[in-house]
Amino acid sequence: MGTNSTARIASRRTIIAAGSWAIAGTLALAGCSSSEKAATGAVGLTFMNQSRGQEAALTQLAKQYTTKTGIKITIDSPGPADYLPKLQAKAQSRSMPDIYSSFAATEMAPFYKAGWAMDLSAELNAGWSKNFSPAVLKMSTFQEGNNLGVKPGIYSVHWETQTYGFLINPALTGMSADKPPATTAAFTDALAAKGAKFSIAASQTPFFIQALASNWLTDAEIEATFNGKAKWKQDGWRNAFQFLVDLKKAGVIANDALPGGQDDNPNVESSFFTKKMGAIFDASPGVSVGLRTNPEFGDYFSAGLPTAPESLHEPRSPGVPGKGAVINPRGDHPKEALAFVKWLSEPAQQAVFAKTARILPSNPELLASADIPGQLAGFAAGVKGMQVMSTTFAPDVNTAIKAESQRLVLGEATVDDVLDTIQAAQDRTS
Amino acid sequence: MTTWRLAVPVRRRRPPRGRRALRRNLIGWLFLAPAIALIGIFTITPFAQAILLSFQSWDGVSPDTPWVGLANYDFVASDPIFWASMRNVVFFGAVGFFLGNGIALVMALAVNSVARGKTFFRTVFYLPGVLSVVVVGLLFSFILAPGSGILNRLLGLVGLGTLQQNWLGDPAVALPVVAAVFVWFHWGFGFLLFLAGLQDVPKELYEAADLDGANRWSKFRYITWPQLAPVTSIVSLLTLLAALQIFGTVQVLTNGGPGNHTMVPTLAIYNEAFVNWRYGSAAAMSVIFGGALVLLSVLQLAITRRRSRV
Amino acid sequence: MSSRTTGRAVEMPVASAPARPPRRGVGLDRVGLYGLLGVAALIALFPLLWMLSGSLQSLTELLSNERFLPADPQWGNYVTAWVQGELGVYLRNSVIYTGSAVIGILLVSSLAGYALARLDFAGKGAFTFVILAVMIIPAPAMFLAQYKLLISLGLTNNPVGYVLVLITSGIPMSTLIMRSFFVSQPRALEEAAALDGAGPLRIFWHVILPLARPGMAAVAVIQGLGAWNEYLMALVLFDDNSLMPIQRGLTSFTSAETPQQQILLAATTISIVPVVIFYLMAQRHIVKGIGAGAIK
Repeated sequence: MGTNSTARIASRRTIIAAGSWAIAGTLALAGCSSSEKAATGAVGLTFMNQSRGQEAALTQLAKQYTTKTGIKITIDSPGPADYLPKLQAKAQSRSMPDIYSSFAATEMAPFYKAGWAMDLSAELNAGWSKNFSPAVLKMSTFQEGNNLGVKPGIYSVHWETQTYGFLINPALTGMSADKPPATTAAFTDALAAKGAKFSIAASQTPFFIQALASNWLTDAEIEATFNGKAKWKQDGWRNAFQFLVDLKKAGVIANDALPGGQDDNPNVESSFFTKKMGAIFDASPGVSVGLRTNPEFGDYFSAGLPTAPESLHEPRSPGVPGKGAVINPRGDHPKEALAFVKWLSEPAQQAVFAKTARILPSNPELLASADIPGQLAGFAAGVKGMQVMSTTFAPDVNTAIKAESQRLVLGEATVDDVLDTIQAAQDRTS
Repeated sequence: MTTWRLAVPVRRRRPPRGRRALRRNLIGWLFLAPAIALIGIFTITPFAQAILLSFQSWDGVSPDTPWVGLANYDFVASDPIFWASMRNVVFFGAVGFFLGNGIALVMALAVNSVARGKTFFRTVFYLPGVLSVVVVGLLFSFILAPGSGILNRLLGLVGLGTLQQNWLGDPAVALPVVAAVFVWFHWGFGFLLFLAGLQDVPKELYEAADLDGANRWSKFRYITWPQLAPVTSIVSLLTLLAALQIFGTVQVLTNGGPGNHTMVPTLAIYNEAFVNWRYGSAAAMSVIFGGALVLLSVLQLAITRRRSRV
Repeated sequence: MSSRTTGRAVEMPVASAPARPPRRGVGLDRVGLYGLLGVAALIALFPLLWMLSGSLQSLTELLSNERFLPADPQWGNYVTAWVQGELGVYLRNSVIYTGSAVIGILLVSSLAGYALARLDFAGKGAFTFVILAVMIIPAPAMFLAQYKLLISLGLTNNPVGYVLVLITSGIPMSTLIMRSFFVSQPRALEEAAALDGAGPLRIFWHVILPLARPGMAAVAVIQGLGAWNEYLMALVLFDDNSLMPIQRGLTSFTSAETPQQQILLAATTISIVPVVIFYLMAQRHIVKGIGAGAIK
């Protein structure tokens, strides 16, 4: 017992020593953090950035701006998945950054409603709007009575236009950029003939359906459905979902299922860029993912959705305002923040984004003149006719479309079941 | 051996009254004081706010949180996704409870009874738990990939090609597969606790049983199992709770899909708050789900308490 | 060093008492036992070996998912992970946070667990119920409320606040675990000490705590993992990147726009090294328990 107890005391001492060491470490770190707060003299701005794809370009431009004006700019990139929680926390602690990335309207609406975004309409009307295509401006406008309940205005500016379409591998499918498939049937047949597969992530299905439905519905009719003023159970939407069933019947959907999970679209993209998938449905930023995934693979092309049988209109890509910025009016230096964002949206800077981050610029002249890489051409062509509307899916509807598309492809639901469920989700929202 | 037995009658001593009782209560609460302070401040306070939030409407950003009475509960009651998730979680609970606990106990017994390689197995079985859930999602999405995934290729290699599946995309197998990954990821902690618990079984009991010529099963049944009862009840409660609160594994592997076949309540709550921006109904879901869990664990503890008394 | 002496001094008498099953049909039994353990080890290890292999592949090779072994090991992945992920700084922070949290959890929960297991006082049942209820609360709904509380306490961007949250989140489960270990321990020593006139705190510190080593070691490795892998609270709490824990280093490689899964795997491999070392140190205590030996 004697030796034991001394040993025990000794081991307890180690614990105490380790404990005090760790606690001292914590306190030392605490000291560090508070001492750093002191240094503020010149104007400094913080830009909280969501996208890792543009991080390099943004950092480079910020440095350039600092050299030019002496205003120090800190780029904070918590990463795409952590961006919203971090921003939300910042709103709670009332320490919002001076500038922050804009994101899907649905996600940003609470911040706009709580007054964390400057209404930029007046500035845009005073000449700033020349840097943007009218379509991008319209898409970022909140109109009177919008389905998100945001006060009318424009709260974000964007240096990217995002469109949707197919990425196609000619070697696997026999399709080519010169002669892209003219009809949905031709697309399906070409895949079936070569035994090639098509894949679309569950998370992308709402845009796929929206693109397909434009064969039969005008932008106004689509917008009316989003706003709950028209029913989901109508032929346009029915035909759109039917195409998923047709693809499944033709045996061209990879593994007869739509992949899900948090990384569904990245997985679909990497299957395409490692040359395993004949075609995928994706958004324009997918091309820059391809460059990073497999730089040696360049022999593929993008194409807008082909015409469906008995279509009433030319099919059009959903238009989405891409990367951009929101300005915090309650920050310490809103004027300087505005000036910096204005500078970022100028053609010269947009060109840097377009080149470094491989995105489609929102400046019309730049889009027309910039040398767009071949793989982006189909997406770029989609900008012209894209669906321009200032509303989008309500979150519940978005969720319902993803889940119901999966069920549809698995054969667990009919097209009419799917539309009923989506309508129910729409009704719950309004 | 004898000293150990002595413990039982001592426990029966009647507690005295009056000042000594006061002193005893004080000492008891003194031991609990740090725990009470921390839990009170950092858990109970926000939890109370969360309960209040279930009667309010909040988008997560706005400074205003107007009272809406029972509207959130009404809303949740008619939410098919939430109720589907409640059904699925019963499956996860059952798998976690029986399979997770079973594997943990059997492996702890096995490791405890081998002479060589103890450290190796102890370490290996603990290893899966050290990964972050993001990496678990990444690893298994490669391993379980329908086309070129290693699992399907291995099955093909050993001539079991007919067993190849779209593991995460086929609703018939997705739920069990996610549960299996969950067990892989989490059983190490039950294993550790069982292993630690086995160390506290007095070796003299086995010696005595050996002298009586008891076989291995009766030694397990009449020595190990009853001696392990306190640890078993806590491990099974913790495993059950962990399985019922499964979140990250589902989110990274299927995000609730295909359809809503693997949706679980915690993920539904998370989506309601962080995707749909309805913190009020997310809080209402938490209260409903949490209430169900409290009932369940009280029930479970009552059952195991009866068992350990027998 | 000191703990080894303790372990051995106590192990000695126990060693003579075989805990092993009687030698009947030993050969077959042992083959079966090792077979079972081997299969389980393979299942546990396979994804981890796959991770090691993936961390040495190029991105295209990894994503094409065609090879199990890297064709040309890319050791540079580890350098990229260390440098780009700034793992050096984050590792130091995480060691400090996790160390403080584990020690805090052990102290608080063994006190509480002991009280629940051994002391008689009014309100014990109520406390147990509260602990249970707290453990059951689904975290997502409470998260922002907890963060708001830390704001009002002025504990944001402050390691002390973070460590307190880590400790608190570990207490309920650890208290219940410690309680179950105290319950299953013999009372003889405490009673002897009580007869000698030692007070409850003294008994706890000098008699009980040393006996509870297996339980404490188990709690330490389980809670250590939890603290090591925590990220969401750190993300919202800290503004200075220099205060972030190791998970921050890992998330810089998770982005759909800039796929770097091979670097993520390398960074993960680096990040689990300290955890495994800690485990290897702690696991001796889980197994060489002295509870059974001490009553001799």
